[in-house]
Amino acid sequence: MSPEKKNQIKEFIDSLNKQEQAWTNGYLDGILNGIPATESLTPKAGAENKKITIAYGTESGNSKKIANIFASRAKQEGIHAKIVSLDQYRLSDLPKEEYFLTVISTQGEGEPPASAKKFYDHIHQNGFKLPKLKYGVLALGDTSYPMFCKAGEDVDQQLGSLGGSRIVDIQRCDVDFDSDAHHWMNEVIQKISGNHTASEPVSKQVKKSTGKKIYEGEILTNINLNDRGSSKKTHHIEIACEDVYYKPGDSLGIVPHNPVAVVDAIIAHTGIDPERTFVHRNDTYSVYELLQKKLNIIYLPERVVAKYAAHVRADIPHIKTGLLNLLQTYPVKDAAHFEIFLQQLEPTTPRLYSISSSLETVDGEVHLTVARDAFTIEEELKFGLCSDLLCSLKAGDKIDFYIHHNDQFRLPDDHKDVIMIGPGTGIAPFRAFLSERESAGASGRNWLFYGDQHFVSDFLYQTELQQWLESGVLNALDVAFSRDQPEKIYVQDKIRQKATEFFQWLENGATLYVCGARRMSEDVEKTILELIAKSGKQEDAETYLNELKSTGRYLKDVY
Amino acid sequence: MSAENLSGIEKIKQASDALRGTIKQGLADEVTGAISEEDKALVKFHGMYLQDDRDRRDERAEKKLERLYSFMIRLRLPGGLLSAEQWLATQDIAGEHTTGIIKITTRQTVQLHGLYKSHVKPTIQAFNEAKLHSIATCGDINRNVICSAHPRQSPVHKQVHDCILYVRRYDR
Repeated sequence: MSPEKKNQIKEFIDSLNKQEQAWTNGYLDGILNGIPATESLTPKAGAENKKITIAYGTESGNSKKIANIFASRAKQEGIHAKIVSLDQYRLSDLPKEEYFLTVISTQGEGEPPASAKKFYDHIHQNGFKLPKLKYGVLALGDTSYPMFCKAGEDVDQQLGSLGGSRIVDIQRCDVDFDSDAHHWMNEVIQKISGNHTASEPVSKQVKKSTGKKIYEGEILTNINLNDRGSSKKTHHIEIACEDVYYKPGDSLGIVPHNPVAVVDAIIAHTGIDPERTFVHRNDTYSVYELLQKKLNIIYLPERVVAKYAAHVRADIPHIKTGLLNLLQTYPVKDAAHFEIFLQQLEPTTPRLYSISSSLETVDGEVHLTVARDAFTIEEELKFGLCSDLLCSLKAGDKIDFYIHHNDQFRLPDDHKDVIMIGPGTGIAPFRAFLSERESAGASGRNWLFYGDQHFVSDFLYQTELQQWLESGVLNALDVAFSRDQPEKIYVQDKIRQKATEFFQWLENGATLYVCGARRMSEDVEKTILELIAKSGKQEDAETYLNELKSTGRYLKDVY
Repeated sequence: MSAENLSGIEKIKQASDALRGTIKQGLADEVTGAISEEDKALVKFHGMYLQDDRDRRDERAEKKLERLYSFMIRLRLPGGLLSAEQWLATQDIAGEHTTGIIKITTRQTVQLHGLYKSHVKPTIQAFNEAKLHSIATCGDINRNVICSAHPRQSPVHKQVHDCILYVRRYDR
């Protein structure tokens, strides 16, 4: 776009009031999605005095984006729309709602986003009814996950069993959600306004999944950052990929392939024809492709083991186990018998890893910081399928991946301060942040809290952080090594030691980021609430922190 | 000696506030296992040398880790004498805070290696509790004469030993 055009647009937009801007937003969105626009700001007949609440539960920002578009579309129709994030929603308002529309995504194992947890738990409690409630649910998800749109389905079902009446059926959306989401919005608006001429519904396109762009990368370097004597293995992996695009805060997604030896053993054991094809989530694959690339066969969750038990009519203990192990211990009758069960297997869950680089400093590269996941099943040491695979890659090896964008975890403007709390692999996005800020010459201050077990062997990216400290990119670096002294010291203890300064940074407008283990993030939050309360300036620490959340100044990426 | 002709180390000593330097701040800095150049010269007077494992330099650099720094700490043992209790304490300290190896030197003292920065304070505290210390054992200070620590190899061993026991008796 030419600078003149840009200026014209900017001038025009500045001349509009908030309501007019919202209308324009919806207008443009309509054009881009091929929806005939309404010409005026005048409310449509029939829609007056209709009040709707649009509540969103978001992890990466998509639900929020849709909720915003929806709100401006509704306003365009003269509907009074209130928009709220589920973590800011007052639960006591629920029985008073007339129209309650939820836009909610689903996380890894079918759980709701962290920001929707409180709401989700609340509606799963008994003891209250919502007879007045008219509701609808737009569920965002990803068909490559086993529990596709589970959180949305749960909300839809639960609001119904609490006595609410569903005004439209739940709409499940895959990663390319645009057309499905618009279809649902139109349907809701028509139901509420009772005005069937309001907007022509977009014809629902039949499409193939999925909208994810798959990149092929080549491994440049793969080193274990932990020194000898460490109980951990954390790999720094550099991947070359010319046309890759991402921003600091994004993650890289991988669907790990199953070991060929296991696939071959399953085929040999069952006698199934590896060339036979089946439809799996809208696409057709051969049995071999399914077993090697698509289905989870390595660690079946208990619910799948239970299905297998029913299929072979055997009494199988409820534990996580591998398909091959099941087939060997509790055999199927024949290949045909196995084929039926094959279709009950779940897809392999994609694994997400926070990207630890910035394109500003390493063009055409993605860096990862991957901890090899070790655990025991029946006293046998096992390693996570994907982290083990990543850690064993050699320079020159190829890998397929996609970029998982996360607009809920972005740097603020260059002149703003940031506080980053990222122990262990939680440091990954902050290495990306610091690279980005260094190359931008950002004037805002940067403060990092890092921690791990031992200083000598587990200080990830130590020399890089020292360099940033020396050059002034890092204004402060506080580290906590839990096992270098008799008493355990964690990042939250370091935060507590610097409470006064920490609060000053917040007062000064700093954005607060937490990345890493969920448990850690809870302990850190507790400490931050304490220090806000003790600052003496804030009567209600919860309110203060909620304010940070709602203004996008307290962001978490936890797992 | 005129002030201009002072050697580098003498200048550091002179500016060090009676050998304090910035050792305290240096030990509190948790981002590095090392201390400043000036403090490296000064800790010698407190009985420590800063070292790093040269064989590990390349490997650590690849892992984005700094050099493997640690201190050597050497005790001041008048007459080279260590009581049984003190020997046991030294064994515990060596195991808990250093490589676990006790080196007996030709100048009749003992030294421990591989002492990481975070262990310096507890080590010195533990020595203090065992009535041991490391003050003035490195750098330009006097030491014990070279003499075998083995009683049968040294004609003056018994004489020195008896003398120290005599002093200790009056020390109590």
